[in-house]
Amino acid sequence: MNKSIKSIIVLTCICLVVALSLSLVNSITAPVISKHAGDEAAKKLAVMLPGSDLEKLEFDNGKFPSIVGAYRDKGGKGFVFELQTNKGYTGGDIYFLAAVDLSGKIIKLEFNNYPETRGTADAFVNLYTNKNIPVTDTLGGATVASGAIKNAIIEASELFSNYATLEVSDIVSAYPLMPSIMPYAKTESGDIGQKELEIPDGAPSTITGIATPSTGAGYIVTAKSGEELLVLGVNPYGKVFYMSDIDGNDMLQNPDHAQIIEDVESLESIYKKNHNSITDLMIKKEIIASADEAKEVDFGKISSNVVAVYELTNGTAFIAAASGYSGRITVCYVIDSDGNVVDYATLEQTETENHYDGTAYGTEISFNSYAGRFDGLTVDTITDETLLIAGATYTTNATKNAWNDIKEAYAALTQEAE
Amino acid sequence: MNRSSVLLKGIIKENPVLVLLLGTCPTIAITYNVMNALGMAVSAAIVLICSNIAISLLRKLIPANVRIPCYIVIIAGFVTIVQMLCEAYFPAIYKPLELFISLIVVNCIILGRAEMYASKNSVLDSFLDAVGMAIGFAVALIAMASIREIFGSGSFLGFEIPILKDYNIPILGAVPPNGKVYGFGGFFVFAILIAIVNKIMSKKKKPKAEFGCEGCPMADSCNKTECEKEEAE
Repeated sequence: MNKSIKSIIVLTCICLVVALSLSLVNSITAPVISKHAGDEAAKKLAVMLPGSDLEKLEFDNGKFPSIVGAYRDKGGKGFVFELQTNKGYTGGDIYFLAAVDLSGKIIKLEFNNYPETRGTADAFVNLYTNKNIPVTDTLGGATVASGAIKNAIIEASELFSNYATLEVSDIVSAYPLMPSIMPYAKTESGDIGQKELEIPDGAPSTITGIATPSTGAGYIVTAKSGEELLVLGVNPYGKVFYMSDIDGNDMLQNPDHAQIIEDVESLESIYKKNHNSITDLMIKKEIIASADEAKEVDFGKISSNVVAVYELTNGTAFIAAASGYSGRITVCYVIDSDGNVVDYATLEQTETENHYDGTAYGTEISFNSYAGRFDGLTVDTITDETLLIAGATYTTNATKNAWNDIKEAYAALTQEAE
Repeated sequence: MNRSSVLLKGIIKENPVLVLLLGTCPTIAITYNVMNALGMAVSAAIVLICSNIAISLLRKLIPANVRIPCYIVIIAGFVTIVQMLCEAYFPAIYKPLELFISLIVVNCIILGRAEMYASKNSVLDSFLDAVGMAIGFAVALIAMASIREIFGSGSFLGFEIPILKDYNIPILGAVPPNGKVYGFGGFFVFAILIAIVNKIMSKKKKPKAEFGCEGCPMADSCNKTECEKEEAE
């Protein structure tokens, strides 16, 4: 017993002495370390905006949880934001710096501790540098991190607008309406993943902006009718199926804006480009031998995941694009007049690679074995079970969404023919 | 054993890295350049010397059944002090060594010498043993780092060596522009150095009987009272 008590006393005393020594050394070194950290941080910030004299900005942390620090150059060069998001793919914090000039353009982006897939940090830098805030693009193959980083930059842009006059383009101001205009284009996280397109040369002057969701299932176009800004939803064929003002009030039947619909539907070069890329994919996947074999079918104003329908020699090809785990999945079903599925191909996908245990996960949809599932099936006998990919829920949901819309389109086309 | 042999044995005959094969993790991990090796050697030396002195001072007070926790608390305390001082006053050296300084706590050299020598010998002898081991550790680290940096990246202490720069062998563990370090080079150079030391030592090998139990690192766990006799090579 005495031995045990002695052991306890000796160990406790040693611990106390060590703890006291550590606290003494810490009291001396902590201020020095803190100053180093501050100098280091100041150096990193100065590098973001060379030649700047930064002053720290005050803001409500509760309203801007992703913003760690915000600084403005006293000389008017711009702003530097320290941003942090804890919603990366691997669950780790992503800490990065963004330098923004007074026009709202991101002039430098730096990731200090990117915990995700290697090389992806550089891809984000390439994606967002020289883009205006709030950014809208996302990085293919990095869906979760994209959303987190994009949202952090959007928070920075909101804070930026408190301190600088930020002009938001017409098309960007229409983005909040996109989820209601194209609900089928949402990703699993609820994002649309907008991509702004260039307005083609020669386009009517009423057109002020064009964007497409990441699935490519249609377009959003903004146009000016007099002083009024209108937002139009356009299907992949270039047919307008939605028109409202910037507040979402329906304007589709308003005769005053009929010219705008004509102007938007005249942007054929954009809609044609989309279709050229689809026929290229069909040739690559041996659905057709050349683009001449595919005759485009237009069956009115539709809004769904169906991006194209072509009449082929062996049936009708329905192409749909839906949002999978990592990005767009584009599928092609060729259905004959009796409703038999005569051919299938996954035209494009960027799903999860083969797992180390041999499980294919999402990429299974590109395998011949997956296409083989549809042999002998008809429009009515394809079930959820047919489309199921074990362990790849998002991919399965995307293929189900695509198939359901194709089934609807097939039914509509059949009815129209009758 | 006289005091000079206590000091000198740690440098070659009982070199902690190349003969006793202790502390190999930091040895392989940080010896891709000489500056890191120097930083690690100095940090480990301070901890080794201070902990040996402290443990030797307390050797009669610490009960046998709690000796290991006590040693670890003392060693961890010194490591943390070294870490705080390094971070405060030598931040440039601290940055690349940050992780490895923390790992000195579990460096076999420190705990091994505390258990095998400092807990059984006087303060002066323990101090000399620690100095000898620290010098031996530093010699091993610097030898490895020199080979890896000179032939791996064509430089020494960060200064480029003109001819070697063009003919360097990156896989030996140098740090190319992309910051990658190759572990293979560390193991390879380590193996070469151990082979060289073994060759030198084999010529001077004494029969086991002359070694005696007193100098044997396995003395505490071995049940024998004497080693079996063996003819010297």
